[in-house]
Amino acid sequence: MRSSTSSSDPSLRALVIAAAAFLCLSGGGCWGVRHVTALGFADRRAPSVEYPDGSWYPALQGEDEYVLFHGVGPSIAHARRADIMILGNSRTQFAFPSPALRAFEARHGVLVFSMGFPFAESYLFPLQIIRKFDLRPRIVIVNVDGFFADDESPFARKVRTDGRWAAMRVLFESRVSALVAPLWSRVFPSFVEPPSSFYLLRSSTHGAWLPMNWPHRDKTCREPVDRGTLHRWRRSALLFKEEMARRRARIVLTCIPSTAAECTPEIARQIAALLHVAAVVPSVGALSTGDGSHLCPGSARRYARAFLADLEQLDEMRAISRHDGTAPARTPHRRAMLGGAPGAR
Amino acid sequence: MSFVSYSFGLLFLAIFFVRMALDPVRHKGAYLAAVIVASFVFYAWLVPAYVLVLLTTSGVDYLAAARMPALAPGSGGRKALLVVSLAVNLGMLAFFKYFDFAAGNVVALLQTFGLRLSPPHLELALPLGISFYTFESMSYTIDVYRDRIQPVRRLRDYVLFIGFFPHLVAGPIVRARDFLYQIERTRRPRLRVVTYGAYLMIRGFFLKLVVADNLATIVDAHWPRAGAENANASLTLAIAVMFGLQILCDFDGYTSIARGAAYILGFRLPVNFRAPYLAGTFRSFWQRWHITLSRWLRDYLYVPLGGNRGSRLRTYANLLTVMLLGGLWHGANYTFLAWGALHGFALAGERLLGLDDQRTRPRAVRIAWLLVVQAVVLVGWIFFRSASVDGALGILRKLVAGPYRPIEPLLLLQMSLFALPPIAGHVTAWVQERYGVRDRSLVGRGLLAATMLYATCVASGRNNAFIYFQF
Repeated sequence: MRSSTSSSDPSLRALVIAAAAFLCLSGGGCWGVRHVTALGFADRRAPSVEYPDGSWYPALQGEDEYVLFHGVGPSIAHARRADIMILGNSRTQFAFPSPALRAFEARHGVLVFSMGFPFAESYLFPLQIIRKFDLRPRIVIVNVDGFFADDESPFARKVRTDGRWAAMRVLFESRVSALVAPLWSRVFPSFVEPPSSFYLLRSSTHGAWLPMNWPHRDKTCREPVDRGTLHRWRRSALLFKEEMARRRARIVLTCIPSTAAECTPEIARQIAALLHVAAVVPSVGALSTGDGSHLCPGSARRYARAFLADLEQLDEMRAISRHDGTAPARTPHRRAMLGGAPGAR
Repeated sequence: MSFVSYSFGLLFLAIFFVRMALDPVRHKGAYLAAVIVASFVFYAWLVPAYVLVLLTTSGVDYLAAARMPALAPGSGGRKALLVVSLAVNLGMLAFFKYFDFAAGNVVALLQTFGLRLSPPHLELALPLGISFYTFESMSYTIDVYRDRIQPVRRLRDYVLFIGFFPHLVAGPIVRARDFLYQIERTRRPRLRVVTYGAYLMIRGFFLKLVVADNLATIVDAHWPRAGAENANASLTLAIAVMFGLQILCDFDGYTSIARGAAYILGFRLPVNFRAPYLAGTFRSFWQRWHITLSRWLRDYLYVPLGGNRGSRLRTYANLLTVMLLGGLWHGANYTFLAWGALHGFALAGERLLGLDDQRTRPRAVRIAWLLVVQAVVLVGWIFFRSASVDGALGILRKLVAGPYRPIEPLLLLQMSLFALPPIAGHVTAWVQERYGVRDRSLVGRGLLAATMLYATCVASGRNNAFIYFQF
């Protein structure tokens, strides 16, 4: 900089003093939160985000709603090819871990896409995505827990009114934040808004969530109580059935256990009876949630195994399985996705 | 693009490096072109299509103003150009901002006469900063029309004036005569300029992220229940005061970042706030709060309406009209109209009572009137923050009826902690005004900047959008 960098320049002196003061404060802060017990609460580090591969993206702040509604990246292309689509809330996403679904796909030669959403999203938002991209899965698995409620979350409304560009922006900020936050939290404690110690990734190839460092305090799932929700959900359930029938998709209902679920196995069965569709509500004992709402990993594995084993017994599943000799011919692209040779079964 | 985003950080660093890298004399044109490109990236980042709205209004105003000097002052042709310019500007503003509000009111009015009408409900996303750049653009054509300034020769200069990103979205509302002359200036990067600009930016981020955002968390948590029957009136009062501080720090923070960024890039933007809660009169409040808006309203609305040149009654009517329109400028909602009306009546009442000039009044009267002024300002904020007039009235009823009980100590401590910086700022401003004390020394400012920067790094609240982004 011109003519102003001599050591007697007051601006330079002020800058040096400011920099020295800032370094002192930073050093003092680091020391303080590590050695003064009362300040220890501020010493929280954001974890470094590790992506299993390039197909995963951060999804803790609802980024996935933007991605799926605005068709950013390859997610929707994969959803379009899916034979089975899983719909529901965040509990649904936790209950079907990626490895369990991948093993199921390999067993049956089908593609599964999880399209559950956080914020207790009802059927309205995913239904709009299904319509917008003309998704035509052959089986739709629905966790009835709050799914047929007749309202849309404010966040989903915002996602819909924001454009595709906004989705790209949100993803950009989220990616940069995932890079910066761990480094930042190493240097600066956080006295007000501690960074999350956990994070969540979503796969763009199969839509499953990958929760990392999720709080894990075993809480036994309670017996859910019927709060008379069937009456409230009847109309929405019928509308949803109509739409799926138009798309020739078969519906399979379930009710994921939780400590806070709004459904009971009985409600799932009653709605299934109303819609004349199948219900798969496996009875799995001693399930627990990690955070009071979502199944913890061990329970999720057991639940998914039991659910998928029951699903295999359904006619709907047999009709699309490539391993029972009745599967209809698949497009070359689908075969490629499944890793099978043309004509292979 | 929000100032509080990684994308802004990257954009600003990029344009700063361009400024440092280019020769200030030989590459002046290239630098200005880079600033314009950065400004469009900044604006298009939110909704790219709205760049077209910006270009339409500025294009029309540029062309209209360019033709005015060829026409005689006061001639029909010149008036017609002004009318076209104003019609396009106000038409865009009305369409995007007030269509749904006006249509809803027309429908409600017709229904009282038994008529049914169902106009479309557009639910348009408001182009960011439309209220600000429309006023800036209008002031340019009006000034050219009045022969106060010459029209710019290059479209580039006009686009830079309107689109310069630091002031584009939420002001300060810059006049052409305060900005255009700066474009051709040779701007050499100097450490003094960069350090002062950085100080302003740090101050702005501190006010926004540490004070306003943390106060917002408290205010948002308690506001919905502030007027409830079983609410604690002490808490309701405290929350209203906290909102008054939140909106000041939010908007002053934005302005400070804008001024700092502009200064580093070689442009000066006007001051927008001067410790408004020290105002002892309503007139003084509007000379301290959102200064660029109140000056705009004075010069382009109040004075043309006749100002105080007519009868007393006419002056009061003008004040009320200006403040009502000022309220409506903030948004299409009756709460903003009520806020504007309250300030309009207050300004008129103060004038009627002869209390607008306090210099000769005894100290007791001055202090008493200051309390009245700040109480009315607070009532105004209650309307401003509430979702509906009914909600605001509910809070006011609670404040009158009580009961006043002690506030939970931890909450009180939190509020006091985050309210401290703006209060300290006001005390400092009072000492400076009262005793003519000079501003802080450079070293003092450096230490303050280091402290504010560290506080921003360790105590930022949950990021909220700037309140004035919605206007």
